[in-house]
Amino acid sequence: MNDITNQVEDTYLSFLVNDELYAVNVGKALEVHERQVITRVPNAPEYLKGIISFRGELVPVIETRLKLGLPERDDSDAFVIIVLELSTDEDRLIIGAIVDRVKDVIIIPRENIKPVPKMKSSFNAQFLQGIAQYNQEFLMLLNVDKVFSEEEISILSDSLDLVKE
Amino acid sequence: MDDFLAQFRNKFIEDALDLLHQLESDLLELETNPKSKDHIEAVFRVMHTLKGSAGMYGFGYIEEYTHHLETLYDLIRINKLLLSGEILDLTFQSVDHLQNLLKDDELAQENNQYKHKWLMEQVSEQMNREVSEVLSEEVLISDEEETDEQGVATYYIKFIVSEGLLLRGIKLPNIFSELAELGQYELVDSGTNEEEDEIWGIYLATDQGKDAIEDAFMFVMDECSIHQVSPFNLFEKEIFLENSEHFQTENTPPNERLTILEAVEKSYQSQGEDASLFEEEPQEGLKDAVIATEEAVPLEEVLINAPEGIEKPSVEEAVTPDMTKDENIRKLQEVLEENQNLINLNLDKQAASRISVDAKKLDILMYLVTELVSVQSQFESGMNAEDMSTIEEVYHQITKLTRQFRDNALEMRLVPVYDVVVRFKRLIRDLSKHLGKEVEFITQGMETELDKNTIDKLAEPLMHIIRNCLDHGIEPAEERQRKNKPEKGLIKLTAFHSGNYVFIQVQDDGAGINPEIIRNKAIEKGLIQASDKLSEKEIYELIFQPGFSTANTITEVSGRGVGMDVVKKKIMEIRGEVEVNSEIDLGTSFTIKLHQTIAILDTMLVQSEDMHCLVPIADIQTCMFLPANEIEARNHTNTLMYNNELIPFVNLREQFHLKGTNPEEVRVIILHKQGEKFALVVDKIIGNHQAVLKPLGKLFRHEKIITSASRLGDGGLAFMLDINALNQAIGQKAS
Repeated sequence: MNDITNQVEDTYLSFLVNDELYAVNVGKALEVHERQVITRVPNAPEYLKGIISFRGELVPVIETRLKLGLPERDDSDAFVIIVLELSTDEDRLIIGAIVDRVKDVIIIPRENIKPVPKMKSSFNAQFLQGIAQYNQEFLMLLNVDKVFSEEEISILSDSLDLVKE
Repeated sequence: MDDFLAQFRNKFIEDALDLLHQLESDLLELETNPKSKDHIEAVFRVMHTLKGSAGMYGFGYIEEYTHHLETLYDLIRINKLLLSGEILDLTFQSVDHLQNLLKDDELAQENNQYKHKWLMEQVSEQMNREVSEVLSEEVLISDEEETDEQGVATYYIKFIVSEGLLLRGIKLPNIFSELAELGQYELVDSGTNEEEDEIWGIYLATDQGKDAIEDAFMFVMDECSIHQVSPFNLFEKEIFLENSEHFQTENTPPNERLTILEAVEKSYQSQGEDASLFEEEPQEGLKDAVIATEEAVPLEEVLINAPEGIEKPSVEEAVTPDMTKDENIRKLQEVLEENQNLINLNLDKQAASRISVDAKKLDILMYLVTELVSVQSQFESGMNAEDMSTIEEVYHQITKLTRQFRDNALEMRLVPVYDVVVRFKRLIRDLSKHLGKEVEFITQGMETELDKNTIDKLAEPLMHIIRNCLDHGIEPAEERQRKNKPEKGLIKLTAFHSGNYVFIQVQDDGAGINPEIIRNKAIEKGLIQASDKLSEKEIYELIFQPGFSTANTITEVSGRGVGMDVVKKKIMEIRGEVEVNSEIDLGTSFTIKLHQTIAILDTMLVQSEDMHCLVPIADIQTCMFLPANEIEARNHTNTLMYNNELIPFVNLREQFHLKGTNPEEVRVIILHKQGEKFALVVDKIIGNHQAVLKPLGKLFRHEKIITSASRLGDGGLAFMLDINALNQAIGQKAS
């Protein structure tokens, strides 16, 4: 029983964004979608690319590149959407994250995860929970809950004036 | 493991809330009729049940408190204590307290702790007032156990055949065979009570004492009451049958009752003695009986459509052999219909997360599923066939099935308005006491059905309106006297269908709204200019403005007038509309117009550039073509001519900052909402769309005009336009 839980905790889905390797815990990833139509929502912040229909519900889609402070992709570039389940203080939230390509499912033992070194300030390094080495490559482990909770705060402050009642 | 326990605890909380709901309506009954034994008994039973299960699930304080109350009601039950208004008030407070305890079972909150202690003391104090002498005059039937020299006494058992009983699957024949073992008994039909439950009266002469009877009715104790009627065997007295009406409470003519009595007796002679019949399933018993009276087919047909458990009470009635065939069928159908109603009524007792569904609707669902399965196999064979004709036929069948599935699913979600009314009864009782105004609350059309979501969201605004009627509408008694009105005020809640809408109306016979006062107030508040000319209707609309209050003194009850704007907002959230009408000194009425269901909406799909939007068909008055340059020429005022009227318009392209330019010819959709007309300009009208709406979620809450979307056939999404918000957006741009 415990072995299996540990295994899930140590299992990651790796993907490419701007030619670099990232990973999220598989426990957070629900599905990977290719060629899904994203419907743009007017007047939304730039990183909110739109919505998709996922298991009958509407799910917002976030451009990971913009969230991380990386250059925007060309419209013609291929992409996939990883549907993530986040746990926030309030409740369960589902979002779709746009990445370039999904790579692999791998096991990274906890002891192989190292703290994040100092990085260029334009890169949003606070969204990383650690760095791991795997097959001579470095993987940046995304803290998905945080990527999103930051999201929440910015939206909340934007619309606070409207909601105040 | 914890989850497991939590699950049970939640179930307990749900059940307990149901019970408290039930208790509340019993208490309201008791208030009008404090001597009603049935309701005192019911209160006692609720306490007893709550005590038991609270203990099981570790709600210690609830157990302690209900135990205390149970003791109090036990004293009342056995006439050691008179049910006073004080006790009733205390019990009402107890209901609230118990509800709090369900949320805070550890008494973590200080005020709950304090309240608990205080209430416990209050209950104890009431118990100490116990009166020593038995209030013999108050009691119709004595509880003393007396018997004749053989130890035989006759008891009258009032047995309510309620829906709960039917749903619990109680086997009535078993009870009756136990009764037969106790002694001689007679069954009389004594009509129905106000809930339309059937009431049976049973006379039983036995030497076993009351305890033995209670044992026989062990599983249905809540539904029956047992009293001794005479300390001897009544059946030995010949006058009994002649005078039997004397012992009954209902007014059925005596001869009719005797027929039933005889019929039942006969039926037991002919079939009841066949003990094996009672061992079998009741339905079997009924079938046997039906065959015996030679109309197996029609009756069985009726039975197939009947919800589970309903056959049971029919057993005794359907088997009467002296009834003609037609009568028999009619009787059975009556029973079925009645139980149908019971099940419908039962809806309101369910906790919010559960819903009970008419068994007929489930049958239809099952039928649809079987249809779907067969269509699927047709589809499969059609795929292998050469020509497309089979596929085409299958397509039509699927279209039809989809519609039927949709209607079926929507119907299952419908709940009677009755659902929210119990809450209002209590509110009106408490408030009228608080305000010192006497008010009568009448309801009409409460069986009108609405979507469950709508009903849940309707409760709050409705409550607010009722509160306002009580507080601001109904005048104090002295003032009413001066106006030659009855001292007691009146609040009426009506629900009815009209077209595709459900209307809910709250009326009072109070002071009415004086448009002059509203007008002056609005000028004072700067909502309108003194020079503005407003129609009466527009003036009434002002009360829905944020921050508007007319009550000269701020009362605890309806506050500072923050209410009515919220009422309107909430009603608009469920896509409803609200209207006020009033006559000075005659009263005020609020009319809420609602869609019966909001889950699936008939909409028109429109497009500008790559954006798809949906407009509710109900809000569309007409559509027309206009050359783009004509619209562009009017851009400076954003108004266009329609039917010799200048109405504002909004271009979807501009509203959502879409790229590109207008096509040569644009489509103009004239919308009509809340008595206002305005137009929407789009590139293209695509057609009808049955929208299954899903919320956009909180990430997009900055967007007021689009809050939900529906999936299109190609996998893309179309946004539902909130016509009210759109209308407001036009207003904001103008100012």
